[in-house]
Amino acid sequence: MADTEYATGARFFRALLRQKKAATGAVILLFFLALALLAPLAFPGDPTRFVARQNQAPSARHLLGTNGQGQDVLAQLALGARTSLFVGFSVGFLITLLGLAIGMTAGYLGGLADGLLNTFTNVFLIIPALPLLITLASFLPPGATTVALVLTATSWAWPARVFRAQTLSLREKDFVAAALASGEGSRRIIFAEILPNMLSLVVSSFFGNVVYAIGADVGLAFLGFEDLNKVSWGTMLYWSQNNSALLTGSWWTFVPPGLCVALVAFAMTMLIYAIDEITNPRLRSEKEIAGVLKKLGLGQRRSTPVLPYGNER
Amino acid sequence: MSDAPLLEARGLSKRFSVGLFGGSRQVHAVTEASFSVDRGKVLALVGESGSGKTTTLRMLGRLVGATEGEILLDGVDVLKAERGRASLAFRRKVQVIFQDPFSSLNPVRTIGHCLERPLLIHGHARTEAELREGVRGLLETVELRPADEIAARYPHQLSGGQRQRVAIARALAARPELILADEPISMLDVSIRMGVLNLIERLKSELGIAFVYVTHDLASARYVGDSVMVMYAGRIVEGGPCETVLGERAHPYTRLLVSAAPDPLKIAALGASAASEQGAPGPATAARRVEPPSLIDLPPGCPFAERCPEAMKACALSVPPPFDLGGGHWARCFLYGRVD
Repeated sequence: MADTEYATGARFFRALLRQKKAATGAVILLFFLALALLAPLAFPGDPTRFVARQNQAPSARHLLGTNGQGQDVLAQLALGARTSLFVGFSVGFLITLLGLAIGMTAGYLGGLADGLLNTFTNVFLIIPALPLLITLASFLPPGATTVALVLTATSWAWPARVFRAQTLSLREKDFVAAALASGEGSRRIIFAEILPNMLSLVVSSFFGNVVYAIGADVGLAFLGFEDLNKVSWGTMLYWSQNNSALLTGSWWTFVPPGLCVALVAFAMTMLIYAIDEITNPRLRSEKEIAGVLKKLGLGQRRSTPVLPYGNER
Repeated sequence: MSDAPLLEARGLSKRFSVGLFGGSRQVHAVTEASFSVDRGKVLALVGESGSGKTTTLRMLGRLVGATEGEILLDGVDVLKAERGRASLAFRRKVQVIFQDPFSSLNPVRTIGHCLERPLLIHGHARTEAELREGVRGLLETVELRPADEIAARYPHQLSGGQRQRVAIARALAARPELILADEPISMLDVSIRMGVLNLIERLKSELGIAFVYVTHDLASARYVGDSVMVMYAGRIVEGGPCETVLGERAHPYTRLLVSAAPDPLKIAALGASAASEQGAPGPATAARRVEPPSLIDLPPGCPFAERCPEAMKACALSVPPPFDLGGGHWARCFLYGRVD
């Protein structure tokens, strides 16, 4: 049996790749990352240029047809992935980083610092995010950077709260007191003693934040609060709606971007599940028992397995 | 070596605020603990759960701040000299071993790493080779062999007893003069407790390290302790040389504690030697009420008065001061004197 109970670093990722769920998630994610990276090579030129008659159904020339402005949907989808994934990953990263910095500082220091930071976090938690998002997005110069900053500013509070709670519980562990008694400094205790113990939480929080950021970015663009001349999955949906795609029956203008968002979110969720399974010994042992039972031809059962004599290893 | 005690606590108290918004109610975890630890000796601190043993130990190790009182290390009041964080010099002299060996080692670090850190921090090793040699030496001191193999392992690959030995090795890495041990054997299997106790004995006699040994187990206190203190409801009620205190049992609470020990052989042995001397009360007469007092509203008098079979009027009025019983033995009990 693998020693994955306290998986960390390289062992953590090796364990991750052995999982079916993780592999599914990783394959989908890699596909989209490759799509985003290779898009300018595959679809050179401006994706917003007029290429054919409007609202053409998918054909050999235009694999996903054309939209209401006579633009190639596939080219837009591929190039739009760049914007959407860039915003998604950068916001996910920023939120996680900011949440870690504020949450762990509050949780570790405690006392007055915790009181102040926690109040600050709570204020950001109760600010209604969507109106603030819309207000900020409509006042600041439009662009992916603006969207990324606005999304980060409105959504770091929840992860910060989660990380604070986890730090609070880890701080009480004796190994932290032992590090203190050995003479370790605060910075080392936070980053070398506590942080590695919440790595799985940080990684799954990161994936969750990416999903949230992609969704929020698409939502903002769909509502028209982003630079609408820029191609992204969100603006594709906006123009599709603007050109009454539902009325004209041109499903190929809104199904592909919607499906892409859903697939990326699905991939991330699979990764989160896999991480949960790796780091939660109970889920893992359930799976292992099921595997052993299957091998012995006993099938799935809920009760404690009784292995036939001579088969235990 | 001088005769002055290595460490002295004077009037050490700890109060925790409880309730919403750091409320006004206070838990008196430890009240005016005064004692001293001699070089190369083991001071056992016994008492039931919640009596303040661990808090006292954590104050000595400066893991929690004291509300009042002084801690003198080699005659220097460390709480005044270094406000806030303890200095590295203090950490080098005083090390701590924790109760639960399953949580005192960081699960994501190897044993080797966990022992290298204090060696590096306290400047006992600098190069890779010195570190490796240092770790091997430490593991061999605590009888973990093969040392190189153990050093490469993670805590969850070791047994409880092995982990506690690693925790002791980590404390030794700083080359301390005093080790504060918080119930180091209570989470271990009975079969391996003796080994850890013998290790403590050996470190004391071979390396001259002093210990404060916190426990609720009288037998082990008697086994390793040179002197013993009995705590009840945050106060030290009796103290002195181990054999005298556990043999004479001056304070009624000490008698209760001894009579409550479940080991039939021990009760018989202690009963035979002590009962003939001063007619200790049997278990039946020992306790009138089982619950210790709430640490939030401490009674004005002796905290044990309500449970005490020998309680007098004076007991409920004021806290008895320590009365000297000779030979370094003392007890906070009005049975042994009066204040006018």
